[in-house]
Amino acid sequence: MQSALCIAGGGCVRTKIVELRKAHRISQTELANAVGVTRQTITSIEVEKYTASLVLAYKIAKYFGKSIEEVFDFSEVEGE
Amino acid sequence: MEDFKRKLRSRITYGIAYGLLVLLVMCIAWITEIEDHATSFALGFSCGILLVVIAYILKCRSALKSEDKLRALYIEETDERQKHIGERVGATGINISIAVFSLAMLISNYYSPIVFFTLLAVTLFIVLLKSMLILYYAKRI
Repeated sequence: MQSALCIAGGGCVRTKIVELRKAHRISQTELANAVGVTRQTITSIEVEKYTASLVLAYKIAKYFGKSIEEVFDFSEVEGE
Repeated sequence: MEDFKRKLRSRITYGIAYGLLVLLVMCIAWITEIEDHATSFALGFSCGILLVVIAYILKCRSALKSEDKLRALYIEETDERQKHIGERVGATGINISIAVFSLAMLISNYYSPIVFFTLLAVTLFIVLLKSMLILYYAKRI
């Protein structure tokens, strides 16, 4: 299941952070420490309350060894 | 992380300097036996801020002694969601302040000219400050 992430001033993208975290068996705290944010920030991104910056999106994608597009699905905003 | 350590050390220095300044002012007030309401309030207010500064100095010192605490403090201070919340709170706070002071100013005009002009000055100051900040950040960003 993918969760939607609303972008400020635009539509929404989907993120696979929850799935990737479960696949890698890491907690929100571990991911947060690895990318240099608080656990609450990861929670907010996962529950679609907060929009990750480009830098944070890059760090999260790099942590999972994937590209940004593989973690964040921009298909819904491409047509805008 | 070295930059952050330097930043913490300079904050500790500024905090200690503030503490010494408050102590100096308190000593002067004690020696000269100034006991008016305004000075007492100013000293009490400064001491209140000093307590917060002391708590922050202890937090910084503790962080400088432990790498884990240092990283936790760094994350706490640089977390982009916290920064975003701070920016939203600041922007919303200024707008609410302008609205509340404007309303209070209009109402106070019926009761007290002194309060009216005081609130007018405060409201104009906040509007001016907001305008200047908008111009400043429009050029910087």
